[in-house]
Amino acid sequence: MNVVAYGSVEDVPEVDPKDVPRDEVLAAVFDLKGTHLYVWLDHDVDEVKVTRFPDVPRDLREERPGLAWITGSVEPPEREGRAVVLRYGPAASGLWEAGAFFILTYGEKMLRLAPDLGYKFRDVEGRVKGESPDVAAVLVERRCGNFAVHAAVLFSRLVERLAGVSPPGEVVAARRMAMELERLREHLWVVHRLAEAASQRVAVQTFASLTEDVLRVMGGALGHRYGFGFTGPGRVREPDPDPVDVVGEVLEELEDLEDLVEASKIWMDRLHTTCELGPEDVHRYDIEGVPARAAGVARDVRTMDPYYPGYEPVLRTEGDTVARMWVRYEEAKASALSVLRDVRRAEGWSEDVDGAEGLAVGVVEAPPGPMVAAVVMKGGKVKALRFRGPSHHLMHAFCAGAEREIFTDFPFGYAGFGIYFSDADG
Amino acid sequence: MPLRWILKGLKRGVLTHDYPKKGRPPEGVAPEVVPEEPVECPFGASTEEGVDPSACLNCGLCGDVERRSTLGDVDVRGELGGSLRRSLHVFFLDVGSCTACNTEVALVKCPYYDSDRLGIFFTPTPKHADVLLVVGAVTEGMRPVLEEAYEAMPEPKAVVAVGTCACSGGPFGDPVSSVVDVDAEAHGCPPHPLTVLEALMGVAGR
Repeated sequence: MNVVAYGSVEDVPEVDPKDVPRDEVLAAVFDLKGTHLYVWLDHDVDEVKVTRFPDVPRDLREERPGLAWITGSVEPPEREGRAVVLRYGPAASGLWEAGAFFILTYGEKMLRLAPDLGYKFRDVEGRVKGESPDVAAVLVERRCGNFAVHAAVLFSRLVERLAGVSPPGEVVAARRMAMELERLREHLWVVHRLAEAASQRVAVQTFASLTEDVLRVMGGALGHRYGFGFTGPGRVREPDPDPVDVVGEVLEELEDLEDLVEASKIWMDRLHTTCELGPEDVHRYDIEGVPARAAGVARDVRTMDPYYPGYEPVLRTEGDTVARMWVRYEEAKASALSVLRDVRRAEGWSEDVDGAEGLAVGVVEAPPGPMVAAVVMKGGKVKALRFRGPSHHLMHAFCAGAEREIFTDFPFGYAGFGIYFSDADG
Repeated sequence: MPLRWILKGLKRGVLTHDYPKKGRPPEGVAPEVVPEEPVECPFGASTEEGVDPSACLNCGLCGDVERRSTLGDVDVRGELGGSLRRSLHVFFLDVGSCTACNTEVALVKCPYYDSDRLGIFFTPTPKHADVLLVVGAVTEGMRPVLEEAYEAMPEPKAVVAVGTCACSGGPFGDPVSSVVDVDAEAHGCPPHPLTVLEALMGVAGR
């Protein structure tokens, strides 16, 4: 199961995080009501687990180096000998977002990198406090507009779990269709960004126009190009199936383009062995999502999500940017097929969630990796929300992969992760 | 290999709209949405005159069907004109968006909209820009960056605020106009790429 619920924070079992088996992935640590909620992903039994502990033990960092990424306690690099620290951003056109990286550099080599987060901090968690579930959903989906559907579905499922309501199969199909449209669009956009980094002009325009095709489908079918307002706690808008036919054409185009992309040697050579993360890095730093699957590690929380029965993750083994691109390419095709399967079944829904009370914690697989949230509901209002988008952890994963690379590899590595500062900052 | 890509592109044909020659195309228009229980706008976009388009999040909670079924509108207050009517260089700056606006702005370059054909080009530095195109509500960290970018631009210059957060601050912070004067607004959450183009052409005086 990907969602768990408790009467209150105090009902969560208290466990020393050092006693949790190392093969369980630490997905998030939430500071909540004077304690710390640890969210673990157990891929052996396909379950999300939650424990609490008063603090974050210092020696846990040695066992789990990825903890520093999760808690945001990574120190920026400092000048070393002849190597100097460059700050890239926050208005750099190459990032196309308000964010920056510290780069320790000597010559053209990037010796160490660290994200400089916080430029886009809008305090979504603080702003939803005391709001109704409907208003909170509007804010939650605007944490990162490119992952809006996943954020809205995750938040909605947590509130619904606390209200004791669950949507029928047709509504699950509608939500799954919306999530897979978002994944399809995001994966196409990442391939577009990779082509742009390699100056493949025709490929850039081809994948940009395919992205626009999917945005139009979303606009027509879901009522908004980014899926804003399509779903919320206890509700799903009635989708319009007709615009979704275009997804079949997008799928055909993807199949048609596959050989062409693979045979584009100049493009593929730029991605090959760039920003590598092997399975040992994935285990060491508790990495999930596309970078894990590109390194051959089957970590995809759709395997524990009842919305995705029998899901089999897409895997590659090389761990570089080209592997991450092909994972996305295969997933894009699978998303298109999934959308075409669900569209005729999908239905709208409306159910009262006023009785939602307690704490719920859950996870969904957003396009780059898992999105984790914890919500406390009281008296029909949001009492507290903690949200962790996949970009936060993967910003650091990108930095680890880009170490010792040269500057010109930066755009390929960064684009391949498909991450956003808005999602990392919240 | 390049030849195969070119042939592939030719096979797909011309995707670019005739806009603005033949008006706005219908694609991308959201269907009408009627919430079961409309509420007064929780984000302050309801005014006595109706919905304030610069503050509307297009969330649909108020049940304003008409607003949801348009691509978004523009409000042009100042024009550069002169030699910049036909060729405009734009510096893009995000000061705290959710990134949906960023994607829509990037898509003005895609074949469907093709900003190049309209003489609209993006430049990586404000020193070469005629227009500062800003998305997002101004966060504390980006306020000095916005001021600095504006100061670095040569005269004549204009500022275009794109999206609800940039135009009114939205639910997350301060509008761009709290830092620099704004010459045009592209409304929407996020605005459609055509709305972005329309604001840019408006500020160019076209």
